[in-house]
Parts: sequence; structure tokens; C-alpha cells
Amino acid sequence: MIATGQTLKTTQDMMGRSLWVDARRRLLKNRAALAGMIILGLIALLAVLAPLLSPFAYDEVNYDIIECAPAWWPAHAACIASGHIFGTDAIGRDLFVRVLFGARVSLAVGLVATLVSLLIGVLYGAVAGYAGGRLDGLMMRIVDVLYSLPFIFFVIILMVMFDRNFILLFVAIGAVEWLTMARIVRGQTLSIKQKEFIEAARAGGVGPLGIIVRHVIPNVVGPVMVYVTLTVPGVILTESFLSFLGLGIQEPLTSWGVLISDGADQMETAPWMLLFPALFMAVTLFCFNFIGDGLRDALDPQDR
Amino acid sequence: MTPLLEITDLNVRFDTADGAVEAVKSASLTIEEGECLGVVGESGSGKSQLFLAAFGLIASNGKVSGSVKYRGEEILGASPKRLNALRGQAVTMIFQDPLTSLTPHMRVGDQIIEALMLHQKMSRAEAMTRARAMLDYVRIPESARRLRQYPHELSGGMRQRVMIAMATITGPDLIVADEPTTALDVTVQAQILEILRALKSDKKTAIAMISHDMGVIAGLADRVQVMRRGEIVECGSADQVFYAPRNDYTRALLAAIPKADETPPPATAVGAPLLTVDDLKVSFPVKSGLFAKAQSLRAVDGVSFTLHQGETLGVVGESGCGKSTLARAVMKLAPKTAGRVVWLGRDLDAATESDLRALREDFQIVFQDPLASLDPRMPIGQSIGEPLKALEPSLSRETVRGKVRAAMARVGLDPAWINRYPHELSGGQNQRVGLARAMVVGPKMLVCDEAVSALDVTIQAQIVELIRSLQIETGLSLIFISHDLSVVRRLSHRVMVLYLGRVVELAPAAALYEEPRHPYTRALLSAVLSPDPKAERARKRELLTGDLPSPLDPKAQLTFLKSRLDTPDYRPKLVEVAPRHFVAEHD
Repeated sequence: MIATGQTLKTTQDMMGRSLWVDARRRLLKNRAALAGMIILGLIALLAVLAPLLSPFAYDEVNYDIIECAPAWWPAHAACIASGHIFGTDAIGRDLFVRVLFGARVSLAVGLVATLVSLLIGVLYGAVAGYAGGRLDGLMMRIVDVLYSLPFIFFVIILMVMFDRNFILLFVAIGAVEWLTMARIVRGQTLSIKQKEFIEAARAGGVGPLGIIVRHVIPNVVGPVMVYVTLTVPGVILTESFLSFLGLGIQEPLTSWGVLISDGADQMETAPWMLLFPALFMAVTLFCFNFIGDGLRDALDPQDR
Repeated sequence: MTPLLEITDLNVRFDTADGAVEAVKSASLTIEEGECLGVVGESGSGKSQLFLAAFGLIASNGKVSGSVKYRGEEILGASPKRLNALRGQAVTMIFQDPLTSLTPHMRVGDQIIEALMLHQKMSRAEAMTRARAMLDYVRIPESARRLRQYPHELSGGMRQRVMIAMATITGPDLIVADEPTTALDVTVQAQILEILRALKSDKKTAIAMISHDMGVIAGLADRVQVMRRGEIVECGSADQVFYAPRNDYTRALLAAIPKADETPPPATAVGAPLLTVDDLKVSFPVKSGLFAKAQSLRAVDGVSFTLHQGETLGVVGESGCGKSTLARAVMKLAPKTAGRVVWLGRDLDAATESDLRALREDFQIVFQDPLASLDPRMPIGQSIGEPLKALEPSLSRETVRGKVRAAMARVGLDPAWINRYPHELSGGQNQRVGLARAMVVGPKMLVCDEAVSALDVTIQAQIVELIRSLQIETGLSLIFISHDLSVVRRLSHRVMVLYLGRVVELAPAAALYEEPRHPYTRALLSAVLSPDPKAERARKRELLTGDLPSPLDPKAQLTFLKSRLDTPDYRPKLVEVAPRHFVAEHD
């Protein structure tokens, strides 16, 4: 007799799982990746709930408490009674609420721009690589042309044409980031295309789109994931650079990049202004790295 | 007298992430001066690791214990300096893949003399003279020119001869040859074995011949050791092991080898023509430089044949003869240059891309490398079901699943394995997956492109048996492509021999094997090794000298028709010498 639990497990095994189901199971088993996802989720939750968590508004200026240390800060004499747990900035705004508002912008830019570049880049690269020949040449020359546009110039033109706009930031960054992704994916596709299992799929009557989606893309996922984990921090930093030039986020709205660059100016007199945004950013980037590593391993069935 | 090499109680253990793997378990052996010891075993039996470990060449996660004595001197755990001196001079090695064991950026001559200059402090000029003499000895034509060439400019057989020259030039007492002919064509293999045999008799060099192929061992070895899962299960003189094996595993190994006089399959009632191929040509443009005019390489150069219902057509030829290209062009997986392919009276040229995709239900293919032909990121159940889903999208998931499981059971796989990944299975099991994927749509024709060549003999025999039973059950037609004539004989009703993209002989199997008419067919057949030491030693071979000519050379087609060399565009015609027995014109 087979025990009931055994039977249940076997029937489930009989159903046939796909790579993605297996990958999810493996991803959830990876402790570092799981911790990364939980912490990232918490930060995102804090960012969304920011107005409810603090009595202060992100743009509430108070000239009486300029550059005040948080009450628990050791070296400085606290100048505020309560409330400002991360202290205040150069014009007396509450730093805690500003870091959370900064998280909204930075996470959104990092995720959306990366996802956009992932989607366009992977599809474009896989199609170019799989099609080969003239189409490949044409598609890759387009990438070369876009590569040669100076980035800042491109952003300025966009700003002039469409006015300053939050969405434009995504478009500008995404439009540049997918180029490298497309090149990486195309190169990988070229080598995967030669493999016998692609020919086997063709012999089995699978069409070009089916081959790209089912066979090529899952097999390029390793290098793509590594690149994505490098892209997210890159994008967040690019955003802060644009904001620094006055092309990105405008005051009183803020982002981690802006907060860090402000904080760096006041590093000697008010270190907390650098410390808190930098801490949040570092933790976030660590989380992305762990999740990226976890995804890469989870999608590779040979890795155990 | 102390033996040349004495290995006692050698253990090799690898610590891997999946736990310790015992690659070799208390193996003992001796090799006397000038003797050839054959070490046979299937892949993973530890036969290579045994010798790598004995000479300190093992991977860093391996642990070795026991004793290895070279002329009475303990060398296990000897200093790297002593081992290097020993390995460079007294004991040399030849590996399976002659391309990866030669340094790509060094000229052949420089590589050969490296050991001489290093160990024997010889001057460069003197060493080069020796190297040239050595290349002549291993029968490399134009040796002076070859010394200045790079490895990639030489053919596979030529590179392996360079490796032998390198291994012999220091005058070693022992050569460890690890599957030296496995990557080579049969005719080239015969040449290499001839050289090794000469080395043994002229220079009295002892040879440790490691191979999975009993035929290779039979002609050369004085004594034979059989290994299985890290243990030596049988050892004895060649005659004893081959003619009176004591161990069950040895018996199984010998029984699995396809014999040269294998009875061909029963002639099933051969039905109506299924596939007609008429003057098929496939050529690829080859450019030799940036501004050079593209030459066309004729991979398949005018092949015609008909395949009947329920028939097996064997396609034989050496690497580069166009047999795989032919299969792909017939299946419309590769574009053809000219000719017609007619499937059940329907010209495939007229079929649109979507018609063709529907037609794929009728013809399927099984590939050579079982692991490479399966998507590493797809559970095998999905791989098998994929053609079903692609060709009959209307099927429900349950029906697909049921058919996949039935197909798996049919090829001898446990249906509960649908969620396994290819890397979790063995080569033989993966090839069963490939067969299940091809059979699941119920094809009328199956192309096996070297489908059993990468497998161990015992597994090979099982897969061949499986293919044969599938054919009897479903009335399937087969195109069975292989370089191995004995395997082809097991399955084929008719056999077609290809040489540089053209048919040189096409005949019913019995006629082709018993009365080969074309000199190339005869050479191929005489190069086939049999696991019969006495016959192998006595054997006189019809050796082809040199390498396969380049297919770019217009005169190559006339290799066997020298009298027509003044008209280099002439192509030998097929002549029917006996009923259904066609032979290309030859001198």
C-alpha cells in the first residue's frame, strides 16, 4: 500500500510542470532571494503608505529646525522634541518622509525603465538573432545609430519637445538601456540558434515565434538576469544625475539620487542627510542583486 | 623482472557537490615492457581516470590512494618536477580529441620539438630534423611543409598522427592512448591503428590502449582488462577475454557489439514508394578571404533515391560526405540548391511554409547527440509533447498528456519522469526521449541521423532493437544514417554509400556487404573492426592512403576514376551491375 501523502505527491508529479513553475518553487527556496523580495516589498510598502506614516508633509518647510539631527543621534544636541526620526534637511523638511517619497520615484524609475528595456531588448535581440541575415543586419544598424546619439542631448531634446514630464524620464532612460540588452540577447541567440534542440523543434513543426518564446528566451535568461541586476542601480543613478542637471525630478518632489547628492554636500555638518537615503538605496540594490542571482539560478535546472 | 608499470590497489575519489564519487575502486594492473594492455569499459567506468590519476593529472577535487610503481619507483605522490620529467619522456599520452590537445597558436613543428628541447637539451635544428623524421614515420605526406603549419590547417586524422609523433619522439617506454581513434572516421582509424601496431613491433614501446570499442582493442592488445563502474571486472590475455569471457558483464559487452556478419532484418513486405528524391543538390558558398570570390562547396551533389513504405535505407559515409546535409535537405530543414523531393506524390517545393509544418507529422528526425537535441530548460514531458501541440493545436491538454505518457512507456521510459530535465537522465535515456518525441505524432518516415553513434555499445544495441520493433509495429520507413557499417547492417534493407556528396554504391544490404563492387565501399568494409583478436591480427586491409580530398577540389570526385582526370567536370555515373545494385563508375 502506498501512503496517502505519497499518492498525492505522485499525482501532482503526473500533471507535468513547466520550467516557470519549477523556477518559482526554486526561487522561493532560495533564502537570500526570498529575503531580498521581502525587504524590497517592505520598502515599497513604506513608500506607498508614506503620507500615513508621518505627521509631516514632504514639502513642509520649517525654518526653525534647519539641519536638525534626529533626537537619538549621539554626537549632536537634538533640537527637536519629537517626530523627525531621521532629522531634517537644509530647509527644515522632515527627512523620513522625504526618503520615502524619494523611494517612490527611484523604485518606479528603476523598475519601469528596467522592465521596458528588458521587454524591448529581449524581444528585439531574440528576433534579430534568430532571423539572421539582412533583417539582423538592419535591426542591429538601427541599434548602432541609436547608440551613437549623445544621451544628454537626447534627453534635452525630449524635454524641449514635450515639456518636463515624469513619464518622459522613463522613456528617455528606457530608450537607451534596451540597446545593450538587445545586443547581449542577440549574441546569445546566435549561439543558441546553432544548437540541435532548435532544429529538433523545427522538425517538430514549431514555428519561429514558438521557438523564440519557448526555446530561445528561456535559454538566454542567465546573462540577461545578470545584466538586469546591473541595470537597476545604473538607472537609479542615471535618474539622480539627470535630476542634478535639472532635467529630472523637480523640487519639492525628490528621489534618492537627489537626496544623496544634497546629503553629500552637507556630509560634515549633517551626516544623517547622506546616511539615510544612502542606506535605503544600498539595501535596495542588495535586494535586487540577490533576487537577480536567485532568478538566474532558479531558471537553470542544472544548477542545484 | 620488475614490470614497467605496476599499479596496486588504486582508488580515486572525487568530492563533488552531490557527495563523494568513487571513480576507481581498488584497481590493480601491470604493464610489461613492449606489451599492449587494452583497457575496455563504457563511459563513466573510470578507465581514463585510472591512468590520469596514476600520473598525477587528476582534477584538483580528486583524491588518490594506493601505489603506482614505474620500474619499481613509487611515483604516486612524487614531486611535480619528477612527474613532469617522467611524463615528458618515459611515459607519454595521446588523447581523444586531437584538436583540443594541440595548442592552436603554435606551429606543429614547434609543438613536436618542445619536449625534445626541454628534456633532452637538444638544439633546435637537430630537434627539427628528428621531428621531420618522426612525421615521415607516422606517414604524414610533405612533412617539411607540415612542420610549419598550424593545427587547424590539418585534418583530424593528420592531427592525431601529429599527436602520435609528439608522444613517440622522446622515445618513451609507455604510451597511454586514451580513445585515440574515437573521434576519427573508420578508414582513418584503421590507418592510426596500423601506426600504433608498427610502433609496438618496431620500437618495442608498451601501449596502454584505453577504449570503449572492443574492435579497436582486439587487433592491438596482448592482454585486456574490462572495467565497470570503477572496478576491474575481468583481466586476462586478449584471446581468453574475447573467446572465453568469464565475467557476465564482459559477455554482455561482447554480445552487444554489432557483428560484421550480422543477419539483416527480415525483408518486410515493401510497399508503395513513399519518398522520391531526384538529383538533389545542396551547396554552400565558401569564402576563403575578404575579397576572394565565393566558391561553392557541394555538400550533396546530385543524389537520387526512392524510399518505400516499411523499408529501411541505410546511408553510410565518412564525416563530410554530406549524409547529414542530405537528411536535412530531404526534411526541408536546410535549403536545397537543386533537385526535387516528392513525398507521396506531392512535390515539397510547392508546399507553403504552413503546409510543410502540417506535413512534418509524417516525417520526423532523431539526432546524434541526445543531450544537445533536448532543450536543457524544458522538462522532458514538454519536449515530447511539443510537436503534438505544434502540429495539432486542437488537442486538449489531457489528450496531449496521455499521448506523451503512452509514447514514453513505448520507448521504455517511466511515464512518471515527465518532469525530469535532460541532464538528470543518461545518454541512452535521453535518446529514448528523442525517439518518443519523434514517434509521438505517428510519423510515416523517421530519419535517424547517427542516432546511436554517441552511445555505449550495450545501450546502442538496446536502442537499435527499439527502433526495429517500432518499425515492425508501425510499418515505419527509416532512413538510418551512420558512419558505422555494422550498425547499419543490423537495420537496413538497402544501403547507400556516399562519398563527397555523391552515391558511389546503392544496393540491397546483403549484396552490398557480401559483394561490394566499388573500391571505396570495399575500403570502408575492410576498415570495420571486429571483436575477434585472431582475425584482426591476421587481417590484410585495403587501406585508403591519405585523407579525404577536399570537396572544394574539382578533381576530388574522380578519385576512383583517374582515367577521366582530363575532364575534371565529369561526374561518375551510376551503373546497375546486378538487379537493384547500382555502382558508380570507377577504374
